[in-house]
Amino acid sequence: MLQWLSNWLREIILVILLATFVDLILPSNKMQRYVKVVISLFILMTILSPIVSLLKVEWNFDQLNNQFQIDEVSTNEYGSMSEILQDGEQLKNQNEQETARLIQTKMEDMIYKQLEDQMSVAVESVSVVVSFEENNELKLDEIFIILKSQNKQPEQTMDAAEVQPIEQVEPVVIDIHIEASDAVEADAKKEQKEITEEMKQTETEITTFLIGKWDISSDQINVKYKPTMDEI
Amino acid sequence: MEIIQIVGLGIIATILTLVIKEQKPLFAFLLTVFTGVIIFLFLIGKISSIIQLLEKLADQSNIDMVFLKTILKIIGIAYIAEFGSQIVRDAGHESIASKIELAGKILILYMAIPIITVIIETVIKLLPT
Amino acid sequence: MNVDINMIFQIAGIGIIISMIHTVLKQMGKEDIAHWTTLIGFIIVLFMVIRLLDDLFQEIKTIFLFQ
Repeated sequence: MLQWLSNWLREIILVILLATFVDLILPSNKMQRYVKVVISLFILMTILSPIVSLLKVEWNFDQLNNQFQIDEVSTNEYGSMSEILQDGEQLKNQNEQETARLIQTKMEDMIYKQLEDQMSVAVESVSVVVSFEENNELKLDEIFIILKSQNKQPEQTMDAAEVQPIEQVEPVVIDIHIEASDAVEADAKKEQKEITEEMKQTETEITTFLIGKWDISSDQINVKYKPTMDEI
Repeated sequence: MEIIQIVGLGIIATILTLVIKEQKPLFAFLLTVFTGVIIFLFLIGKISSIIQLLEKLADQSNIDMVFLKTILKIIGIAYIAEFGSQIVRDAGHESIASKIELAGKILILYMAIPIITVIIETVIKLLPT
Repeated sequence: MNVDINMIFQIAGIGIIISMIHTVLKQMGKEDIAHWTTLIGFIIVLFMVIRLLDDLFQEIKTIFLFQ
């Protein structure tokens, strides 16, 4: 800074010296006035040179500012701050739902495998309902397990049965789980009378197994038997 | 002691001019021009050394050489215009002398156009738009 | 410088001689020849002056960066 100032001052002094010399050199007549005006303009230029450079820089700033404003305008197309926040919330919700669905499918697969491997029961389908709590923590709400009827299992039944559980698993929203549970319950009511002791035992076994494995309470686990074709 | 030479030259030239002016004013005029040119030529060596000094000054102060050239040209214009106009005035043609001076003034302002432009631009930029 | 001063005297001498010739010729009654001599003398001096003026202008051009 000081260096720059001294340079500037030296420049001014030298220019004024130069101007004085020029003034002395000049032939004395009316033209002297004109020459003096030009030389004084020159001195003014030298004195103003820092401002000129500053203005040049500021001009660049203006350009930058314009660009910035253009950017702002283009972002304004997306809407105001609140809209952006809304969008963010939506995206977050979508993200949570995706995660929940992913976890549901994973858990369903795992439970299915565990039951098949360790309990050696024929599982028709497993559906898990998870939800996000306020603090973004996952909570396991319910597990629906539909077991295959242990009697006969014809090929057609399998096909028909396979279509139904997919419809139950696919939906992500909780309402659908209610529907599904309603359906299952409706089935269950019809079924309940026919549940044998053996079936009940299997149910409790599965429930205790799942409680041990997944750390949930028993009322969160629903084990049902798939009604056979002739029952429907 | 060049000044003595110059003064002596001037006085001799004046006397000769006065002598011839009686018979031939034309020759008197030419003699005046000639004397003026000689004195000028004599001075021009000194002026060139002064201008070299100016150039050195400008070089040290990091001044744009364009501006220095402009200033030198302005000085040159002033000199030549002055010289011409005075000789013409001596010959008794005031109007032509004033035209030469006018030309000199206008050319000086013309030379100053770049500097004036820069200053005007600066001032305009300084003002809030 | 010496040459230049000599030229001043030359010019002055030419001027005086021409005027004398002019007067003599006028006295002899040959005014047209007198005028011609005046003109020739003037042209000679003009050449000298113009050459010097050219020198001066060239000098000024080189010194004041007129290029």
